[in-house]
Amino acid sequence: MAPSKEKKPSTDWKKWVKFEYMRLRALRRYKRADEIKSAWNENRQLLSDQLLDEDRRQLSCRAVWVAPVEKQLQGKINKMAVADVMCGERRDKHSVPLRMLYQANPLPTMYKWSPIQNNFMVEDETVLHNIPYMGDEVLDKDGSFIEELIKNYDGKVHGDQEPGFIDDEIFVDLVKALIPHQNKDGGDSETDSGDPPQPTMAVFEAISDMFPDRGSPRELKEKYQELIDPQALPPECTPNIDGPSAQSVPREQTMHSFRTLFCRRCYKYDCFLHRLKSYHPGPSTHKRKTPDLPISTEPCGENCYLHLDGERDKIVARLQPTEEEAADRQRKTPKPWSVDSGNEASSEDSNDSVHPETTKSALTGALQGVVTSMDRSRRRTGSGDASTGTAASGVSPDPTVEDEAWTGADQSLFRALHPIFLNNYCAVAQAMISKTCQQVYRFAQEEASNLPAEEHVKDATPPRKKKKKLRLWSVHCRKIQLKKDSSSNHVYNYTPCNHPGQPCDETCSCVGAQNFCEKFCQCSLDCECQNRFPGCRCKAQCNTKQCPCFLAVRECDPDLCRSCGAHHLQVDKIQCKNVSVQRGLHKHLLMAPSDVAGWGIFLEDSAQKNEFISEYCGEVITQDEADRRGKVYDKYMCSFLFNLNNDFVVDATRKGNKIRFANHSINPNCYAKVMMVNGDHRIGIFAKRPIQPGDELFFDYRYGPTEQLKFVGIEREMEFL
Amino acid sequence: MAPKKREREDENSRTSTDLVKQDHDHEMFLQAFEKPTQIYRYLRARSLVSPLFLHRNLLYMRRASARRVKPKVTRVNALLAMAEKKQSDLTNCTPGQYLTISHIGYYVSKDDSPPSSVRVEVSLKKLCHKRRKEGAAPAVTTSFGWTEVVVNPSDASAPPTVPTSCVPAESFSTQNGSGPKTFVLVVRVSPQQGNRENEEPNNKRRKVSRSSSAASSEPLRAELPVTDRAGRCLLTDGEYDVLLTAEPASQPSAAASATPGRPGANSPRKTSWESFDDGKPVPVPLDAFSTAPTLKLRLAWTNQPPQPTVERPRPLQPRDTNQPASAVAKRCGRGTVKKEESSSSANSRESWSVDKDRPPAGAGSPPTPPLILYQFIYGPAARQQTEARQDLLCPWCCLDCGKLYPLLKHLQLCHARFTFCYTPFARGARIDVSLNESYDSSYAGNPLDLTRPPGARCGPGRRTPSTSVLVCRPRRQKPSLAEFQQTETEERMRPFVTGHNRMYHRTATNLAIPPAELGYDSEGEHDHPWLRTKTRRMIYEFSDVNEGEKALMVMWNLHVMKYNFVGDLQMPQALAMFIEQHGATIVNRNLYRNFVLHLASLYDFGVISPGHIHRAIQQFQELVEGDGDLTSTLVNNLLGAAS
Repeated sequence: MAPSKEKKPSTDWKKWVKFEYMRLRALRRYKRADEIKSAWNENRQLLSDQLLDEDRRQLSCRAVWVAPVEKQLQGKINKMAVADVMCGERRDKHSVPLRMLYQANPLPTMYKWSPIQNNFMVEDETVLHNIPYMGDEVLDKDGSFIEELIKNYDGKVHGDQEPGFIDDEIFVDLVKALIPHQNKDGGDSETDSGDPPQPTMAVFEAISDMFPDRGSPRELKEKYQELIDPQALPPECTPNIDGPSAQSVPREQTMHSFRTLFCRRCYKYDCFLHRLKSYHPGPSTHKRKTPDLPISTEPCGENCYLHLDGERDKIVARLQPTEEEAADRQRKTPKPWSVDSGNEASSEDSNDSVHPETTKSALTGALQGVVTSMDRSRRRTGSGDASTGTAASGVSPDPTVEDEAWTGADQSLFRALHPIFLNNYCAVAQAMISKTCQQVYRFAQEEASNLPAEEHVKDATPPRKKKKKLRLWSVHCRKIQLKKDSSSNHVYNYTPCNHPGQPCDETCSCVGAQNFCEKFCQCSLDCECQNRFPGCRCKAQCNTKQCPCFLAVRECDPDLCRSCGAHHLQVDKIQCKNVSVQRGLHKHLLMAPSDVAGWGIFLEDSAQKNEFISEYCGEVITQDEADRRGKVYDKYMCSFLFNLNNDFVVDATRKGNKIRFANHSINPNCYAKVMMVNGDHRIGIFAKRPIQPGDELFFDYRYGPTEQLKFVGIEREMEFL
Repeated sequence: MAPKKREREDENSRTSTDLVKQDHDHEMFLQAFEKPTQIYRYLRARSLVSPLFLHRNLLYMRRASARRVKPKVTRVNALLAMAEKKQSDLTNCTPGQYLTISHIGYYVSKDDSPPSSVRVEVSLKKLCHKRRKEGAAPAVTTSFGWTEVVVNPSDASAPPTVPTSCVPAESFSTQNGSGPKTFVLVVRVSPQQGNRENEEPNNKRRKVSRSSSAASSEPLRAELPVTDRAGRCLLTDGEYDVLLTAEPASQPSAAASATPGRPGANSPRKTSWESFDDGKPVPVPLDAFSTAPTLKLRLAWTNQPPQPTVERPRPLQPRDTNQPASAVAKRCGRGTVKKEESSSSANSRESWSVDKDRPPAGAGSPPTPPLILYQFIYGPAARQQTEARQDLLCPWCCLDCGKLYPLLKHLQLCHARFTFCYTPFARGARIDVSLNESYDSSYAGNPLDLTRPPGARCGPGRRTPSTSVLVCRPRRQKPSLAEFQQTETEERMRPFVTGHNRMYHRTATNLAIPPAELGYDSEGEHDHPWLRTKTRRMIYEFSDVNEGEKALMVMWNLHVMKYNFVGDLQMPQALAMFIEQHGATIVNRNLYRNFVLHLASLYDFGVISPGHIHRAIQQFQELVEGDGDLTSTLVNNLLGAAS
């Protein structure tokens, strides 16, 4: 391998690379064509099979037309269709009255769309997926339109492969195809030792020369190694904790998938709406305000760690200064746990009612007993030592055997649970099932000695005295209103703020965007953020401006507004009328050809004034994407774009709900309002006046949501009406 | 009746291109008006067969078809007078009290060497109503005596007096018990030596004579119908040549020919009135008058019974030979008469000068109907006019509206595919007809009928709830022709239907929704099947998420999507429901530890507290312990992972 070659590959190499590359591309094209062909043939075969089946079915059953004997209606002149039917030797005359078929009006055009009930965020399309077809005459008339369209996408059209296109598969094939050439080039320098000859550096140099954007020869070689031997790489994901190959990994790794995919706002994994990275600041590293599970001084069972010497005293001693009274009370009146496991559990009730260990059911104990006995029997068979004792007397198992029994899954699970239950080893053991309380305790001690000091102890800060801050609501609301009014009409999307250690001041992203901090913000956890919306304390229906939520164009937050019943899961229990968008309490809508144009949407039941009709759902796209799509929609003369805020637009063209069929009118019976619903801007359509059943719904398209917000304040609404 | 269209030729445009264009325009014009016309003709035919409503019941038609004669108020005292009046109805219709028949002469061909005189018997045959069981209509014949009539009296040799017969008008009374229907004057001529057997009742006589005795006595006879079916007197004053037929058995065609120009009063059975205008030859063989024997009579209605013989009247001169056609027309059908009158009056301006100052047939009732002109307008230039018509018939329905206002109202309401604009002009009305561009031809009935195959319904089916206002009483304006004058018709009110008077369609398939399924909101769910598939696919596409995590995440996502949880507060409950519904699945699919990790993740995000986690775990274990299979499965899974 001469150094000169490294500088500049020979023309031969260039030729070879080019030749092989073109050959591979052509091969791939042929392969693709063959695939398409075979797929087509397959489908065709399927269809013809179906047709054959149908034919066979129809032939097998002899169809007999039974002509019903129609009574001639008196006084009516019915034309009759008469047919002679040969029925064996008998010739029957069958007659049936002719009936008039009414002319049916053709339905308006409808393009396929997918139904959704919540907004759906999609990524920007940076390549033009298809050239919209809107009739030949449009394209003939306006040839520049397509060019303009392509220019919008920077000339990128789907399926357009640039000449330098190369992917992993082609790369590997190319390298393999070039290996024979290296023998031709300098056969003596390479010894034919192994059966699969390794590509020399010359191959990668040549490729790198041909495709300079693919990286240097060394990078290419590394990539090739990776692609050739995927086993060499470490596995991408943590093994299944329930699977046989579960390993002992740190907590971070165990929780990684859940942590990255969980959407704090939708309570779903990999949700449809909050797909931006900034939406997910991840779980806060700060200490939560939620109280810990109180540690009991009663042993949970015979294997409880409290039976160990001195442990109980330690616990009692630690609990004494702070929770003596509570512990006393608990000891006096132990509440069965099952009573409290009701549905409406608030997050603040655990102080006096949680005392799980004492009421651990007998079955759980039995389960653990089974586990321990099986564990023990296995141990016995494994070690051959049968003298360890009976199942019931496993008070102090052999510590060496204990350690042996901790599998990777157990260890990972313990690490996941430990920060939650802290030193409450009973709870940890119960959650883990497979380990006894004492085993957990012992393992925890081991872990603590291995790992650097953990913050198992409670915070040094004494529990703050919480005082309900009864701020003057009117003052607060006026402040909010002033802030809103003084600003321009720009409405920015809400993104949870994440600035640990800093109060929400001018630097906070929420304050900058003139949004309130929501429960999803990191600030809400560590301090009383001044920028948070306080929620309402209405006892009524929250549909007047008396309600601060209504006034601030927000829907009632189920976690903030407690008195109006917004938190009930059952919809019929909610008396608050300001939760319609989040609960999807839309009216029943019916689609029919419109009296005005195209399709229209009609109300099945009546609606009162200001009653919620439906949410305008669709794809959430960026303003840039909306500009690009809008060009096409304008050409179609049919647009379902709806401005959501300064950052995003709702497009109901591809995904939407039925309200997308509402037509425009300058004297509409509905109006649109963009509301802040649990941190998301959503578009609600409301009745502008009482609407009768069967009426077609209209709203005024001219008012974008940004203008809409102007019209929801007190004085603006007067103006509007 | 289609309006006859006459192109108004534009004299200036004579070039060929213009002609082609004009033809094209004309073609377009015809096409535009053809379809609605066909529809309205079809509707007319249908309404004849099965009428939807009666025109005479419509409010605006009320005055048009109102009875001309008011219902009489019957008083007891007036009953006799009414009966007498009724009885004399027919008598009144005759011009006089007595019908005097002067027998001028009996003409027979010279070579037959006729006798100098013949006996002529005048009798009246009453044909009664035919009863059901009788084969022939009963007839009663009353004779009015015999007279001697000279044969072939020439102008010179005629006797100065002629014998007369007299038929009193009371004989024509229809009020007799038998209820005679028509009267026929029978003239029978027999030779001087004829026997008396002819005085037998005519019906018997006829039957006999047809078979045997016709040839022997050779009585000649003729019949003259006195009245037509409507009871009008046909025998007016005049001179009649009565054609006598020798054989009563053969067809009893008696033709009377009077002065030239008067058509003969023929036998009622065989003949019909013929119109002479088209110059068709008269089918009556007029040459028979020159060969067959005829009896010349003069009929006159007088108020006194005449003398047995009167002075021979002078022969009448032919009257007004210059205009035979118009005279003929007077005896022809009524329609023809009307037409002639209308055309003649259209020609003469003088007749209209009287009506000029009068408002043209509005609220008042002009004695003569106005002249109506339809002008068909299509496009800017293409317009055609019909002939002026004087009857107020609707051109599409042939409905006689009687007056102009009902006609216009009828046109506007029943023929809404056109717009009608009324313009009064001096002699009557011009109605501009153009196509109604905004005609709403949508079906107003049950919308389901349009999509459902006809006859498919069996039994009662649910209809969509809709309310139609059937009675609407807007303030009715006084009928005035001014409402038809403006071309821009005011916005016509839509029918008063509220509710679901339309066909709804499914959003996914565009299929029609039957009314029975309207109440169910099929597209309202939060977890549409495609979204469920989508979330499953999205989770499974991750390469760095292990199988257990994927399975649990999908299960949890579907759960959240189904119940649409909105707040942190609902999470404990969501967990409880999740365990309740999917606990067994979690155990069977070996996902318990992943579930615990999921709980830990919820805790990490600050959604739930450790207490909630503990409670959830407890609930889960309780659920598992309730089922022995689940317990063993769970234990095996947990230990299996350890082994």
